This record gives sequence, C-alpha cells and structure tokens, in this order.
Amino acid sequence: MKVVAIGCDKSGYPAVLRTLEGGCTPQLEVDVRGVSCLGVVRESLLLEILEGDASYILLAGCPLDSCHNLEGSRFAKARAERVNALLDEAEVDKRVVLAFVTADKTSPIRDALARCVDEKDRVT
Amino acid sequence: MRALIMTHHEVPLLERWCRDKERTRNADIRICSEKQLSTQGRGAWDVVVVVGGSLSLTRENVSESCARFGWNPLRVFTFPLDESLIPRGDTWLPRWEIFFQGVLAAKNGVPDVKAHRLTPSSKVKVISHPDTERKEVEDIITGMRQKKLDVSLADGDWRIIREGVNYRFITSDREEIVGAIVIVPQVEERFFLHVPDQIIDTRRLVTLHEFSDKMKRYNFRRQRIAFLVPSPTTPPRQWEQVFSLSEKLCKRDCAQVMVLCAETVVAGEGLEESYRRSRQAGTLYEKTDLTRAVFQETIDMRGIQVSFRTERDGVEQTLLFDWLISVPEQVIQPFDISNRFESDKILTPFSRPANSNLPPYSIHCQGMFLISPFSTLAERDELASGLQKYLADCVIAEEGRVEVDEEKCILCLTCMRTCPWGAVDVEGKLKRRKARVNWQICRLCGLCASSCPAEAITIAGFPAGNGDTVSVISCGGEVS
Amino acid sequence: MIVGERKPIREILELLGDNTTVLVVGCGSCVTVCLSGGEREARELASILRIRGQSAREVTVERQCEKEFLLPLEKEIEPVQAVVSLACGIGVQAMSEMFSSHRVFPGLNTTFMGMPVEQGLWEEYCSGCGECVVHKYGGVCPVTRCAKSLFNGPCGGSQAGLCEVKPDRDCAWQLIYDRLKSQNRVEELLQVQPPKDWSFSRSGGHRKMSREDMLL
Repeated sequence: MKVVAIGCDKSGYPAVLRTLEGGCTPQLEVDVRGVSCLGVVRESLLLEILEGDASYILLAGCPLDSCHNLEGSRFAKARAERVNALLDEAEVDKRVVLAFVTADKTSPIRDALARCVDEKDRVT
Repeated sequence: MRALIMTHHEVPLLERWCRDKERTRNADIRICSEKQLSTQGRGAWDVVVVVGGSLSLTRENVSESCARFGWNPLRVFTFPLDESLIPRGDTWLPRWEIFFQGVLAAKNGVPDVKAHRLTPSSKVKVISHPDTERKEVEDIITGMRQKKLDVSLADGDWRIIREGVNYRFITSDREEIVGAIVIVPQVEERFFLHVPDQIIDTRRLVTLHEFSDKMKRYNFRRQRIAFLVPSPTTPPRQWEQVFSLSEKLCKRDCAQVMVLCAETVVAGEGLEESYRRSRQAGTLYEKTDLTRAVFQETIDMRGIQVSFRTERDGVEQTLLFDWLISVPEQVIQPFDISNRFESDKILTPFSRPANSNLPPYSIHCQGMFLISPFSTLAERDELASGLQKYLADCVIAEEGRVEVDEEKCILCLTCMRTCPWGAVDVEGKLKRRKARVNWQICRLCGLCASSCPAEAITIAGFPAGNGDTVSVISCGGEVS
Repeated sequence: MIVGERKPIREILELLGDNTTVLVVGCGSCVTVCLSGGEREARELASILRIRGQSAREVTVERQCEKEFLLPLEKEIEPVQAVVSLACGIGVQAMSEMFSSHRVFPGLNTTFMGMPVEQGLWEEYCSGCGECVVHKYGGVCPVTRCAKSLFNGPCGGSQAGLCEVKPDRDCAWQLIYDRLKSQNRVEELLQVQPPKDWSFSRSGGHRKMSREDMLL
C-alpha cells in the first residue's frame, strides 16, 4: 500500500523523515514531500495525488494552536476534512489523515500510519 | 554548471562521490563547510545545496543565508541528512543520487528572487481612542520609556501610510517614520449574566463600582455578601478589587463573604498574595457555572436566595445573601482606524487572533500591538519586551517571489481576509484593481495562494496543485 | 452576487448515470467568489470523477451567462457524453441552449442573492421582488431578511434580537429599529405601509426587462 506523506518544513517534514529512518511498517511504501506550511496544500493537490496509486495521504504539521503561520494547520485540517467528506460522498475508500507533531514528538505519525494499515485491513 | 555544496559535518563519502565526474555530469562542484562559507559563499552559483544537519533547516534559515550571500532562494536546495547516519555507511547515498539528479534537472527559468534583511525603525507610536482615559495611556507610555523604548503619543489629527515594515505617521505639521504602533482602545464594562427583573427590583444587586463606594459609607456588619464573577476572562484589575474588598469585609465588618466565579485569576503582580490574604480572612471561593444558577428573592425583598451546583463536588446548594455584587468583564471595543489609513483602505479587523498561544497583545497586522488601558503591570511589561524583540529582530523578506496575476484576480478579497500577517491589500482603480502582496511583510506562508478561488496568486517554488506534479520539494527551490 | 451551493457528489453521480466521459465547466464570476463553482471546485469535481474511474476534464469560463464566452467551448464539448455545469441556474440554461445536442447537468443548487458577511459565510440580502423599498426600512430589506416578509413588523416572536423561525439569524425588524433609531427616524415606523404589490415579483410570471435605446 502506498502513502504520500506531506510535511511542513517547520515540524512535519523532519518528523516524518525521522519516523521513517527509525523503520516503519513493512507493508507501507511512503513517499515524502515537504512544503513550507501545511496551509499551502489545497484540496486539488490532495485529490490530484489520490488520482494516482496512493491510498492515503498523511498531512504532518505543527500542532493546531502553535502553527508557525498562525492558521496553517487549521486550514489543513479543514481542507482534509472537506476532501474526506467529498471522498466519502463519492464512495471512494481513499482518505487523508492528519498528524500534528513537533520536530521531537513523532509518535502521532506512527499512530496515523498504523491507523491507515488497520483500516485497509478491515476494508479488504 | 557551478554548484556549491555546503555541509554541516565532514562527509568523506560525499566528497569522494563529487569527484566522480561521470556521476556529477561534469558539474563544477565545490564543497565547503559552514565556517568556510563566509569567504567562499559569495559568487554566481547556479545551484546551492545544503546537506546534513538540515533536518531542521527551514525556509527562514535558507532566506537568511540568501540575504547574506546574495543567492537566489529558488536556487537553493536542501538535502535532509540525519547526522547519525553519516558514520553508518552509505545507506543514504541512493537517496542523494536521486536528489542530485533532480537538482541538475531543476527548471532553469526561475524568477529573479532576492532576499533582503529589513530592520524596522526603532520609533514607536501610541494611538489611543479619544475617550480612553488619558492617565492610563500616559502610564503605559512611561512604563515603556523606562524599558528604553522610543515612544511618543499620537496627538491631534493623524494619518498613517504603510511603507514596507514601517509606518509613515503624518500629522498636520510633520511626518515621522515609526516601526511599531501600539493601539490603546476603549474598554467597555459588561456584565453578561442574565438576572431576573424581580432581583434587580430588590436593589440588592449592585455593581462592584457602586459597592466600593458604599463600603466607605456603610458598615455591613454580619451580613451575607456574594460576589458574582460569571466570566472566566475577568481582568486581573477587577480581581484585585474583589480580593481587597472581600478581605476588608471579613476583617472590618465580620461579614460572611463568598465569591461565586467561573475561574479565579491569580496570575499577576501581587495578586496571589492578596488572594491568599482574602482567603485567610475567611472569604469562601466557589467555582460554579453561574449561567445555571437560580436567583429567587425572599418575601420581604431583603435578601436573595441563590441556588447553584458547585463544580468541585457537584453538590446542589441554596444560600441566602443580603447583597449580590456583580463583577463586570472588560471588553475591548474595536477601535476602527481604517479611515485614517491612506495606503490600504480596507484593513483586517482589529480583533484578537483566535490562536490562544499567541501573546495577548498581538493582532493580525505586523507591527501593530493592542493593549487594554486597564492592563496590569505584568501585561504592560510583556508588551514592552514583545516590542523590543520585534524591533530588534530583523525581518528577512524575499522580493519577487509572490506574483498576483491581474488577469485572473477577481477581487473576491479572500486573500486579504486570510493572510495572517496583514500583508495583502488591494491596488489600482475600479476594474483595474487587483490584490497586492506586500513583499516586505509577506512571510511566504502560502495561505493566500492556497485559498485564492481564482488561483491568481503564485508563489515561486511552492507546489500549486494545478497540473504540475511535484516530486521533491526542498525548502527553497522546487525539483521536478 | 449570486450564491450557490454544490450538489452532493452522490446526486451528481446519479445524474451522470452511465455517461463516462464528462466535461466539468466552472464559472469565473459569482460562484467563484462564493467558493462553490470556480476553477478550483471544477478541478476538484473532475478529480473525484477520475478517482472513480470516469474520464473527466475540466474547463472554466469567465461567465457562463454570456453566450459569447461559451462559444470557444464547442471543441471541448464535442467529444464528451455529458456536461456538468458548476454555474448558477442561468449558466446551466445558457449552456443547454448553446449546446442543445448535449445533456447539461447542474452541479450546483443556486440558492440566493447575497453577500459574504464574513470570510466563508454568505447571507441572503435580496430576493429580487421587483419593487425596492429598503429606503423606508433603514436600508434593511424586510421582504428578504424577515422570515415572514413583514412590512409592518415586527411579529411577536422576535426574541433577544433573534428571529423565531431561524433562531441563529438576526431579526430583521430589530436591525431596522436599531438602524432607524441611530438615524433618529423611528417615528417613520408608525406609518402603516400598504400591502405589497407582488405582481412585479414572481407572482406576475416570467419577467423581462429592456432598454429601447440599447436594442439593436
């Protein structure tokens, strides 16, 4: 299963890299991309990625209330929810998952990836 | 192709790799360490690659180096390499090879972007609402002067024009460039709790202000008195009064005093001490949701029964009081200065940001600060140090990175409303108008570009999600 | 500005049925500003359709309610089986008229004429009743913003400044009173207004407007 991870270069990107260096779930193929702030990821980019063979997108960024650009993570959360609602309506079982991390606290990423695997197992 | 590779640590494997002309496709590569950078960094490099230690390298770090060495930020690529991996062999080398091929193949026609270091002027202007208490404003200014800030009060008729990170302050007789503006708005006292009319008719419900007057004239010997503090955001000043009044009531008048509140505030200069003294004198503090409390007047109209549920143990209580004292909250009134703004006619509203982690004085407009006239000393100190930090830290801004396509811009004003830094306004006249991003203020967060419904704003080096697939994005430039 | 709301994806899928090659047409005017049918939304819908395995493309025109802007679409529309228009009802009809051999499905529900009261929130301000009277009511339209369209209000249900029909909305009559009070014109409300002539509105049937001097 393929997951595309998008992280902001303030916290999400280094955190994803650190998680992957530490070894991740073997069933997963993770493609990592960095952006300046999670707020720049718009719905169309998410959907464009999902048009490919990725089943999940992981958005990793600063915690909601301490986003470097004040509102970036909130934007990302709202957009992820919107895309998920659209996918849900269209009965497509691809999803966008969120993980709010700091550069040191990477466990939310591992949890989110594990959740993706669980969910996939349940569906199939 | 001339490439500069900057490493934070010695990476022998990388040096060996770079000598292999076949792999590097004959690129002219120079490797230098962070220390050598100051002597070797300048020059016309086609690409600059930053390696290692860069897991925490952000766009701001990149721009800072760009401002120092005159690089184009779009030509800087970062290769994230965990230092702990360097001695562990060449597991990262395949990743590097893919990355470097990407760098070599990176788009050539990148816009001409320049990074600048901008320093705001050290002057600070205080503007206050005409109805704000003059004495408090002057107190705030004296406090800031003691912190060695160059502060002055705006007088008479004034206008502001924004000039980059600074503001041009124009009065009838002179002009001045200031780096920051402190707004002292008007504050309104408001008591949010809804109390039935028959309780108000008993005239036993008085405001804090009225009661402190009464205290001077009457003795409340052995009476039962309750302070009602329904708002958790009641300012420390009001609490100071509640603490001292309750202590006095207990000690001087032997009254039974209770404070019913949503939250007790003790954070502030000397507040904890007066809270302790008030408790020692015998005041009871009870946390409860006052909006659910039931008020009932006694038949003789001389007392009021209050039924409430305590938050601590959830016990329903009904108590009889002779006096209820309403402690109002202080609400900052929006101080509209948009008609005094010459350059940007429409300003982001001067409200506090929803982000609770931000300091209380910051608002959504760079270089503008907000402080209540009834703020405590601690709050004023916090503002002064915040101002000092803002004026001392230079801002690194990148010129030429954001572009608004005037053919696409539909003037929906979404960007202006979403920009967290107040960097977007509108330029031009009538149909020729379009959004304008002030590069000196823009922090390149990309929120405007990503929320623009017409996709008129592009930030060079950022993924847009309109057709161009992105494979690797580094902090500065984009590799595809 | 005309405000529209995207139809649920499920409904759009049902409308499309077996048609697998689809063109999604966005509109660059009102519905772009109200974030429901512009370039971005067109791209999102096309993306969703592609994820579901249909072959979809998207295109956005300046205004779908002008035939001149629709002409260049001819080539795009030729090969597709169905068109989803993300414009308001006017745009959908203009498209259907221009490309009468194709089926054009509406992707939006056109909801009202209004304005953004804050970022991301739109409110109805006008219902196009054909005879404007807002000057009598301090610039607040009682026809649109009062749930009961009262000319001689308020009704008995206004509570704490809120409407009784939709309690999350301001009572229009409260707004009218406040506005007139601030202008020192409250006495004008004592005048009883005659009933509204609805024949200028939809009750009079399909409406038409012309300016003789501009006709060619």
